Amino acid sequence: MEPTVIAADLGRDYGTHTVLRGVNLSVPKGSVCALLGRNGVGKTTLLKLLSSLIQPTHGTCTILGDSAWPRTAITLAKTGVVIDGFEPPLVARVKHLLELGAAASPSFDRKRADELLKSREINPAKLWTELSKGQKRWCLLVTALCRKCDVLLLDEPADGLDPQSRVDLYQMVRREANETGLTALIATHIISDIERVADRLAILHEKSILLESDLDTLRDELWVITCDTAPAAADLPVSIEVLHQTTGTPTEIWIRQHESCDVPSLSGEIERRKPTVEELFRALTGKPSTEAAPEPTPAPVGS
Amino acid sequence: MWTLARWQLRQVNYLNWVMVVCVIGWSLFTSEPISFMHGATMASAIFVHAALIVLILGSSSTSGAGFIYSQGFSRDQIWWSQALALLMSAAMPCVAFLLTVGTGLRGIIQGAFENPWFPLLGSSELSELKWMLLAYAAVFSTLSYIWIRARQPSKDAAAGWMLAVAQTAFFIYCWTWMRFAPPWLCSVLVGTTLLLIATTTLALWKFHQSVEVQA
Amino acid sequence: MFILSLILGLVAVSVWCIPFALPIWFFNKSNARWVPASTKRDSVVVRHEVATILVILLVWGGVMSLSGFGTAPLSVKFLDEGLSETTRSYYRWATVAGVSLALVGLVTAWRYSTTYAVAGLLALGLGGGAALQSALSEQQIWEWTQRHSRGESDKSEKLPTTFRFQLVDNIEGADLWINGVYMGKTPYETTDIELLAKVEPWEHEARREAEKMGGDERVVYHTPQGQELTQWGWCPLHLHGSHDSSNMYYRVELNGVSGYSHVSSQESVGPTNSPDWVRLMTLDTVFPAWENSIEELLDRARMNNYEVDAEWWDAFESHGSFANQRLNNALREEPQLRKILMQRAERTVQLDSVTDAASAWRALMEIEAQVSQAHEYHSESDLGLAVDFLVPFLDEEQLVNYALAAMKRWPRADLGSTMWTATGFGTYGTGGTSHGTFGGSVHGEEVGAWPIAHAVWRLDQRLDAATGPASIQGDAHGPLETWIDPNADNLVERRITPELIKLSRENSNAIRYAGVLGGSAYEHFLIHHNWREPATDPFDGNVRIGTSEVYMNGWFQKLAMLDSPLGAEFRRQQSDKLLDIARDAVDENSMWAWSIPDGLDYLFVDFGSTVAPQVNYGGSTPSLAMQFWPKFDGMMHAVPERRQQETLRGRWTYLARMWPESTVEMFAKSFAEAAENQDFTFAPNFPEDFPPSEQFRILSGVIELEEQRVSTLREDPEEQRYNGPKYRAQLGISRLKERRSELPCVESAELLVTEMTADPKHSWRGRLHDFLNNDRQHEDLLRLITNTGGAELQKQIIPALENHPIPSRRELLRKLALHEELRNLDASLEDSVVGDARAAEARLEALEAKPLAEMRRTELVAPQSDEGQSEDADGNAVSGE
Repeated sequence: MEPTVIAADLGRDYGTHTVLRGVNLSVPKGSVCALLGRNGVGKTTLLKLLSSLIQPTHGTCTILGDSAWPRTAITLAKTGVVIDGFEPPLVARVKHLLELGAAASPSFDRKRADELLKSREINPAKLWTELSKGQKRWCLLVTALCRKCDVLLLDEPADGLDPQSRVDLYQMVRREANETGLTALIATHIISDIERVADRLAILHEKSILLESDLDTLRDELWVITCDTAPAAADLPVSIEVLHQTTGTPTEIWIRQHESCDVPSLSGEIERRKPTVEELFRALTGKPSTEAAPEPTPAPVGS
Repeated sequence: MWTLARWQLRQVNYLNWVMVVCVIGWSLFTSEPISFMHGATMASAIFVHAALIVLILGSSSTSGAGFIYSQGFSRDQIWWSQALALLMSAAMPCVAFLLTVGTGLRGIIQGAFENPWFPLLGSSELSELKWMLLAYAAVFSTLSYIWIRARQPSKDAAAGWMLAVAQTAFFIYCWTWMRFAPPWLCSVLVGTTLLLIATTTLALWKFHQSVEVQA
Repeated sequence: MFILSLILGLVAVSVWCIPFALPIWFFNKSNARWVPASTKRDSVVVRHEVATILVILLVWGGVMSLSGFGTAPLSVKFLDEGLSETTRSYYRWATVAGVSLALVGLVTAWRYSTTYAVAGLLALGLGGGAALQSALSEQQIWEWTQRHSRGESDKSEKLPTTFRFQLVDNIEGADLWINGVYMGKTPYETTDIELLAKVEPWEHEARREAEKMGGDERVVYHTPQGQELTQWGWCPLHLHGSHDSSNMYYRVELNGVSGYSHVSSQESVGPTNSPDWVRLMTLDTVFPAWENSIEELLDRARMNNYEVDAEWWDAFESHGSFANQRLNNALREEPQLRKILMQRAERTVQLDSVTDAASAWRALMEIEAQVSQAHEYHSESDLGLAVDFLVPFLDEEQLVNYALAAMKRWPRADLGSTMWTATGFGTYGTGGTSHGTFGGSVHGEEVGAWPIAHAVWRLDQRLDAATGPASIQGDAHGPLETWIDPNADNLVERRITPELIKLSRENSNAIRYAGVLGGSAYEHFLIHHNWREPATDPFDGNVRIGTSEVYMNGWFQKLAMLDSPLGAEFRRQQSDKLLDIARDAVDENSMWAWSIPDGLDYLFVDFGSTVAPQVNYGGSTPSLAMQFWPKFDGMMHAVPERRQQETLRGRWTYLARMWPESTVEMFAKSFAEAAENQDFTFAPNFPEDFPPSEQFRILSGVIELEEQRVSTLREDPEEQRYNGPKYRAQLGISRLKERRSELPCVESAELLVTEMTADPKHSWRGRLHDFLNNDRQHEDLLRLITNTGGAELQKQIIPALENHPIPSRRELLRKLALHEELRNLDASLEDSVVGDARAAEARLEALEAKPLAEMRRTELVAPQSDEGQSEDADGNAVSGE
């Protein structure tokens, strides 16, 4: 089956500055893909491209088979988007938001939306300006979810939400994906959230996708091998993909073992272990994430 | 589309009601015969009203504008809802004018003030309604083009602004000369104005489909 | 000047453009941030913007310029040959620059940037246009100054002005002399510089100079009645321009036949605004032979009681403008000639086929079409008389509906300033207002509204006459509204007047016309304006009283001038204020002593009013005019002695307008006071429309009172025998009697005949011939003399009977010729009377029998002369000097 979200050699320039170049992304139907990247790397830009808010400079992006720009009304109606910074005007009320969602999607689940809002003690008659940051975010997400879209593009959805709300949100997304085949692409830098909901991972770094993979598969295949000296490339088996290698002594080599067999020992190997997603992110992007989430516990090697 | 139009209209309703109050007050208490050809008061008010509406609704670089474009509506749906909102924004003061003048309320009040023009004028001033609508159409289309053009993925973004300046200067020129021009020339000027409004509106619709949301 | 203006214009426009330039910077900066650098301009966007610019340029620059509106100096006026070459060059360069700028702008917008294209078009177009406009204005002011200066500047600095002399109907080949110097044949062109180099202004007036030259420049000709008339051949020539044109005279001969002019040369302004412009001088010369033919034709018409046929018209129109001019000049003293105009109208619009509303409507539409094409209308012309004829036939509703539609079609038709009778300015119309570049009139078609307006006015008069005087009796202590009766409105006042008032918002003349029609809507409109002084409404338009510094509120004045019950009541309520205004106005300037200034006509509105019957002056309710009379009369004492004649005329005019509230004693008192202060060589005239019988009554009364007064005066001392008070008074009485005798009424005729019959040495016996020959109104006198006057008087009236051969006079002539009912006082004289009468009748019969074709205009032939040929200054052989 064709992936729901496809980006092929996608690129976007802003003036003389290239924000994205050669982005290739493929999100299958029913999967939740986490888009990781440092601040300012272009996550929002990528989401805007995918939601046809802006036009690609190079390449194409396809959602539900529609690669036109701007997308057709049918595709747009099936696509839910929550972009960081896009909010209703001040004079709007929460109920107006729900009405809008219902207008955009005939299958809007108003009853569920009311329940979800009630769970957070959000009165639909309230003015948008009277809501807290978290409440605003919750309302946007609820509206997007209750539209029963086929594709969901979320930009930092958990920003401002309390921990419980974050959990509830991702559980809803996960459930929708499992039950209805919803395809979601979530841009975030809270890695702990990723592991709760996502089943795919894409890391955006230096204008393009550095790594894209199924999360479970990645966990299985990912190893960090510490060696006293860096082995020669010729010494590495062909089934091994070197993702990253540190310089200096000792050297850490981040590899993926694509074949389902044990990773052979490397010359000078000191130790090997299974890294966490965060460790991987930091290693690939060169800096730790700026999010103030608690440090994840490194997964033991072999788990 | 009606929900979307109401969403748009909600943002400018307060302006519309202010304008309605102004129009009612002006039409009830202006002692001189109402004539767009001989007075700039209402034309100026319409310009300000329409410009503010366009400023609020027309921009695609505000948070609110970005929001609406990301809610699953097509460009055409958004454009038609905006057009409907603009139409209703123009209709409110026009209806107010229609009611105050057409029902004779203006005549009654001016008659109480012993205005010499009443009851002579009756509701003949209703013919000025066409100029009100024309003014709204001209301002809406001309100023909307500024933003639409600025958000095109195309160079020379200030072209919308300069074209609006040129069109506005032309409309003011036409309005000035309508008072003196012979009937055939008045027809040419009005016809040209309508042509420009029509072509600009068509361009707005067409170009809106490729406008970028750069909030 | 142009460069400086251009620089200043560009600087001004640049400063003005700063607020517009800032957004350009803002948009481009913002655009550069997010639009990819590789992106080009969208082709569809470019096409739309270029097309928009093109449309604006075409309409603004093209259409507006071609129609002559705005956007000066961009205009096709460079094609107008009436302008100077310099002026045309300005327009030419402006057009070239404008078109070039437009093309560059369009190309720039297409290829590069709409922003900079529009900015450039606005900046350079407005800046350059302003600079060119300024320079053009300077040039035109300078040219105007050159044209209209009166020789103050050095002649060498002046630009030549070309004069083109031509005759009426542009008759070619006539010989032209100026101040005795032969110039050439018409049409003759020269410049003022050449003219002054060839011709010296005469030091004295023409008669003396001609005598010095030894020539006899009189033009002697014989009328069909055998009279010998003499006209002076030299006519003053007014060359308005850059030099003094006093003592310049011209004379014309055609085929050796001398012509003469009744008035000085009329200047037809030729093409204007050019240093080399051509002043078209249409010489108002007439030729006796043609004059005679025209007079014969008019006599034939008179004989037939002014009934003429197609053959007559053919002969009459062969004389071209000469005939029309003669007819128009004669209309004033011989209103019966209007019948001829009516017959012309019948030919033009087939009035004889008008029998019902439909045919009348067709004729009216034909008149409207002709007027629209000719761009002129004259309410006293044949077409104007035709409208008067048609109105009784027209369907009233149809006319009113059409007029309402015409008001929408021609909202700015010039109804107020056009000079036609309804607005009270005069009795003739003029042509269209502005003219477009290609020679046509932009507003000329609006002249088609005038016959319609004329018809509506006549309809209003008819309807008012049918209704009779207004009968409303309002509340003398209540609001003015109680004096307005909407039920008294006729169809025109009910439907047309309100629309005119509404139209006055964009056509200020419409309110004046609405005032002429009147009606409750107009009165309601007036009383609700701010007519209380001082004026605050800018539309009030303060009315200046004459040339004084006294102003009155325009609405107040209109109310005071209303001829209606409301107007009468208003004048009654505001009488104190109205009199104060009048007193202030005449106090301003003693010149008012001999005429009531414009703006104070409200003093006399109640006299002769048919609408306001509640006004009944006399006794205890003096009119405003009567209340103001002491003040006006008192101004006499402030007037210098030498102006007493004008003063007396003004007073008698005032008293005549007040008649019959004024009295004979008041006339007499004014006359006596004036006579005391100055010798009188004339008696004052009454206003033209004052009935002769009333004039007779007043003059008789004044004469009687003066005679009584004079009888009480002491005899003048010897040294004052010819200038003492009694002598002057008696002289004044004699002048009054003369004036009385001149009145065209039966009372005056009876008295004169009685006096002449009783006194063989009556002074009128010697002047009766000349008096009657120059006047066509004294039918009563002629009848009385014919029947009872005696042979001596009868002999004197025969030329008058012959010169104006209307049927009634021919009847009298035949009576004299037949000799049957005459009383014989002197056989020889009687025979002389009969003989003269028969000879006159024979001449008239010969004229009656003369084929009309022989009265057509013919080639002039010089009389055979034995006089030697003379030469002009250039040595050319000419005749007649």
